[in-house]
Parts: sequence; structure tokens; C-alpha cells
Amino acid sequence: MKRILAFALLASLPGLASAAEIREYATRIDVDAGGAGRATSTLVIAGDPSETVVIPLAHGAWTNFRLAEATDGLRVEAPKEKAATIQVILPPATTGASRLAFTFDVARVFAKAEDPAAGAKLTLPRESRILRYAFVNSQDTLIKDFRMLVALPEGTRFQAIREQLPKQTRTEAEPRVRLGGEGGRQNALLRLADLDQGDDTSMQLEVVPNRRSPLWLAFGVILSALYLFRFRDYVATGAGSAKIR
Amino acid sequence: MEKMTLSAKPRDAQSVTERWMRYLGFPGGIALFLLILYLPPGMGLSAAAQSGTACFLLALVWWVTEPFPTYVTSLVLMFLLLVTRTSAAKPIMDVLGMEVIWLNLLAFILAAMLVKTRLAKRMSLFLIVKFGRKASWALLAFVIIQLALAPLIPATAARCVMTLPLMIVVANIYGSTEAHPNNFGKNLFLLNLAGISVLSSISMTGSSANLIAVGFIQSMGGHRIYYMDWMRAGAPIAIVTMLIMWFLGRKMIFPIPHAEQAPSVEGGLPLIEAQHAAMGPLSFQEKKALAIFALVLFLWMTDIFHMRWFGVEISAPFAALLGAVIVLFPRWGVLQWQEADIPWHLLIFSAGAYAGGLALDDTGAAEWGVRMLFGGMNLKVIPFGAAFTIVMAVMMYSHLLTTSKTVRTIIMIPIIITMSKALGWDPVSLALPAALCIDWVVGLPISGKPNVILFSTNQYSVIDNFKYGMTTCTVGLVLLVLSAATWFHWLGITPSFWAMPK
Repeated sequence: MKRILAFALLASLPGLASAAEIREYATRIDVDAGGAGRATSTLVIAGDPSETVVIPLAHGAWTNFRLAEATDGLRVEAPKEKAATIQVILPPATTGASRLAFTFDVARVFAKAEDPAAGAKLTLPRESRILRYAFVNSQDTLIKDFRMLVALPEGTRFQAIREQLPKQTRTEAEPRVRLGGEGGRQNALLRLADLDQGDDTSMQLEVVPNRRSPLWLAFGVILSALYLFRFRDYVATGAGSAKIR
Repeated sequence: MEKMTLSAKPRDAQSVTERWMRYLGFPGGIALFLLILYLPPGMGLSAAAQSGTACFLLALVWWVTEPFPTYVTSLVLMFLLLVTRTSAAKPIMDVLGMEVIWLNLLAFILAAMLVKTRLAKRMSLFLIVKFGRKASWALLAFVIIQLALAPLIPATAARCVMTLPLMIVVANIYGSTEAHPNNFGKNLFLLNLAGISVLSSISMTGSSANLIAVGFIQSMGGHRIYYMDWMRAGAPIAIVTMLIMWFLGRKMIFPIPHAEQAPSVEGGLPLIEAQHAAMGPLSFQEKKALAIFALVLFLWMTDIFHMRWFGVEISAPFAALLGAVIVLFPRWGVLQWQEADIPWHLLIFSAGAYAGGLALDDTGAAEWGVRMLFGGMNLKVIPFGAAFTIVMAVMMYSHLLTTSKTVRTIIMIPIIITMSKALGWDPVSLALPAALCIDWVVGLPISGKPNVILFSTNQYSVIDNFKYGMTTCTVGLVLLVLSAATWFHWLGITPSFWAMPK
């Protein structure tokens, strides 16, 4: 009897799971020169009429949450301070997917290179900043397409992508993080498809000022001039075969 | 003939052009480095990718023009990768521990064994006596050897190492030495280089990168490629290319003068026949060397069964390592360490080349370059044949900018499949022919493992390699395009050559 009950319970579990799915979850954070960011999340959600969908927020350290756009009849319960999720109730007469957009602020998008302990070495140049971002789908609603775009302030660029997880699979044509840009501002786009509950994705990038030291130019010119003078015998008239020394 | 050396002797600049290239190559490389470093940043490119490209192109110019020996350029490249913050110290240093470096090192121990025991000499004399009355037949014999080995041993470096002692001895017999290379030597080494690489594309098991491409075509393109599908498309192109290169090489690229058409050993062919006869039956040392080599060869050929047999896969370097242990074993072995004559300069050269290539791959510079190239072309307004030609050309020549077939496959094949779908073509029509180009890594001494090994013989220059390699690739490209219009279309791989995108 216990086995039958257990089986019945297990069989009913899929029915407890959310029928809704988040078809698109795109967030863009525009970072200002001070390192703070203004984020806009746009979601396309499909589900049953009046279904309650809990959505994990794209950034944990948010402030100033504001609803920007919502399909008629869609209700959003504004998240409490430091909440990691928002609750959305789909329209009662929903026929297709509902659209939702909200904005929020992020006080500090970058982390400054940490000062080492006394006697320890610096691991990054002082002007470097580290952009760390991670997202976990903490809810049982499938996210079909997750995208997070971070646009850098002018005058900065990415030095390197230090981490991009999960690793690109052989069925994916695109890398996990793609660099791009618009209007002179470089950006990094993190994307992952089909995030089930518990799935996560992250990126870590180093940000540096967008300038090159003039020392390279000076050194290169001087070295070239010295070489052309010192090795002119290679092409002197009557020179035989030249050996590399 | 008895001694195989791959010492780091300076290479002479032979002609006035070479001397000017050497003189201007140094500032030219620096100028290119500075130009790329100070270019406004591409939005899709990280600073590390930009500086990595600058470093790699500087090294490429120096490798080609040779203002320094190639291994010094490699050391400069490794330092530049660090100070431009393209790579961290550890990945740069770790390159010296890569599988390919180990395989090179161990392979030279095995090659030294074949030379010391005179097994290489015996096999070469046999080859010359049977096929070497004319240079052209000796060269053709090597094409046949490489054709026979290709399906048996997927590891190109292993095939190269197996046949290297024979190449060196045969080149010697035809008067081509490290100090005085001639056109026969250039033809011999570069034809073998082409054979080792190009003939890997005969079958889908010819290299692991081929199998990765097949996986992509199945998972992303939705088509399963069977062994015979690949072979029907790939084998004719590879074999015909090799025959064309056998002809073109000795007639046009490096014409073999009449004096080099026959063995240049004093006494001629009769003396070689006499030497071969005088060697008598196999000595005990030769038998021992043969047994050791057969063991390594057996392990190379049976790698797919290792897990079933031993519960562990003995990869190509570890099979060679086992051989080296037996070769160097006191009393039972056949070689002492100092007789191995390991070309450290070659290993340093390889390490630098791989560090540069890996930096391009790891920073995303190689992928960015390919995307920019395809993104800049509007393939929607041209017929299939034109798009096919462009895609194959990019695939064929892109090996010049990377040192790893696997990485190139991972970058290129998904892009080509995605692009085919966007244009409305069957993914197989572009992806399978593109996959046939994966193994054609013959343009530069840094383009693949066999390239590095054969370049160390000093029998040809970087420019010789480039000239021969580019001709090989161009011949292959022309054959691919002709096949797309005929053979591939009849096989159902490609649509009509003049079909427009849907």
C-alpha cells in the first residue's frame, strides 16, 4: 500500500511543476563611468491563465525596481528589499505569451582589483576592474533563452574573458560570452538556452582603460633603427650569403 | 648516411631577395606589431585578442623572413605574449609539456634508434634499389608509402616520425644534405609533408578533427556522415592532389636538374646495390629495433581497442614513451641518451609556435577573424558555386593562422553549418567539403606537428614551405570546386553549381 501511495505521489509530481515557461529573458546593464549600472530586463512568459510565475531576478544586488512595461492584465508583485525573485500573475484571459519589462539599478557592477595583503604580490594591474556575473534559475519555470548584456562605459574595454560557464557544447555554434559593441561602447553578452531549475551560468571579465602605452611605439622604433644600422651588412653591395647569428 | 642530425645550424640566406627579406623582416615585423596594437579596438575583440594577434603576426613575419633563427623568434613570441598580457605565464610555459612536444622528443629517440642500428639505411637502400633509379620514382614511392600508412596510423606526427629516417637517408643518397640541400630534397620533404597531411583527409578516421567535424554535421546539421560518404568525396581529391604535386613539384616548383635525377653517391646505383647486398641478413640489433618499432606501431594502430584490452588508452606519445624506455634500457636497449641527438631548438620553436597559436584561439581572435571574414560577404546574392568557392578558400587557407586542426574545426564547421542553413543550402553541401580541408595544414612550418618535425631537417626554408604548401592548397581548392560542379553533385552532396539561395 505504501508503495502504491509513493508511486501515486511520484506520478503526481510533474503536475506540481510550473506549466509556464519563460521564452525570453533578456537583461541589459549599462554601466556608467563610476561603475554603477542601470539595468533593463525584458521577459516573454507563456503559461496558463492567471498562473503565478516566480521569476529569479537577473541581478542580486538591485535597488530602485520599477515596472516599465507589462501585457494588459499581467500583475507584478514588486519585490521586497533584497529579494531574489519577483512574482508575476499572468493575465486571466491569456491566449499567447505575455510581455514584461522592468528596470533596476545596480550599485556596483565591477569589483576593483583587490589590494594584496602586506608583502603579497598584486595579481592584476591597479587600473583593472573585474566584472563577475552569475545567474541561477532558482525556480521551477524553464527559461528557454537567457541573455545578459553588460555595456561598458566609454573609455574602457575588455582585456580578457576570464571565465564563461557552462562550457560551450558541441551543439552550440556560439561561444557562451560574445563581445560586441555599439556607439563606441564595448559590451559582453552572456547567453544560455534551456535553463531548468538549478541550472546556472556565469562570466568573469577583466575591464581595463582603452589606451595603449606609447612605450611600445618608442621601443619598437628605436629597436628597428638600431637593427637596420647594425645589420646593414646583410644587404651591403658584394655581400655573400648571410648567416643568422 | 649513417648519422641523422637535426642540429641548430644557422641557415644561409642564399639569394639577394632572401638577404633583403632578412634585413627588412625585423623592422617589418615590428611595424606590423605596432600597427595592430594601436589600431582602434574592434568591438568584438578583447584587448588580449588584439595584442595576441599583433604578437603572432610579428612572429609570423620573423619566421618567414628569418632575421633570427626560428627558435629565437619563438622565445621572443613567448615573452611578448606575457608582457602584452595576452596570456598568463603558466599557459605559456605549459606548452613545453604539451603532447606534441613530448611526441616530438620521443619520436626522435625512436628515429635515432633506426639510424644507429642501420635499419633506416637498409630500408632506404631497398627503396632506392627497387624504385630509385630515377628521382621521380623515388618520390612516387614515398607517396605510396604515405598513402598506405594514412588509414593505419591516424596520428600524423607518428607517420612523420616513422618515415623521417628514410627521407633523410634517401635525400642523402640524392645529394641533399642539411648543409647543402638541393631541389630533390625540397621535393622529397615537402611532398611527404603534403602526403602526411593531405592523405589524412581520405577517411573520416584520418584525424580526430575529422571526427569532430562529422559530429558537428550530425548534431547541428542533422545529417549522419558514414565512412564511405566521406571516403567517396575525400579520397579522389586527396589522391589526385598528391599526384599533381608529385608532378608539379619536380617540374615547376623546385625543378630537379638532370644531375639530381639519379643517386649522387659515388659509384652510382651499382654501388648502392652493392651496399645493400653487403649489409647481409638482418643483424640482432636491427631485429631488436624492428621489434621495438613494431610494438610502438602496433600500439599506434590499435589505440581504439586499448580501453577494451588494457582498461586504459595508451596515446601516441605514451606508446612512443614505452618504445623510448626499451630503446634506452641499459644492456637490453640499443641507444644511449647522448646518441639520441634530441633537437631542443626544434622543441623550443614548436613551443613558441603553439603558445602563439593557442593565444589566438584562447583569446577568441581566430574566431573573431573568421566571423568578420564571413560577415563581410553577402553570400545571399551569389550562386551556390561562388559561395562554395569562397567558403572552401577560407577553410583551406585559414590554417595559416592557427596551429590546431581541432580548434580550427571547432571554430569553422559550426559557423559554416549555421551559414548554410541561413542561406537555405543543405548543411552537408558546404560542411562536408569544408571538413575535407581540415587536414590540409601544409602552408607553414608551424601549421602542424609534421611540419615542425620536417622543418627541423633544414632541407627547405619557410618560403619554400609556403610556396609548396600554398600550391598544394590551391590545387586542392581547384579540385574541390570542380568536384562541387560534378562529382559531389552526382553523389548528391551539392546542389546545382548555379543554384541561387532560397
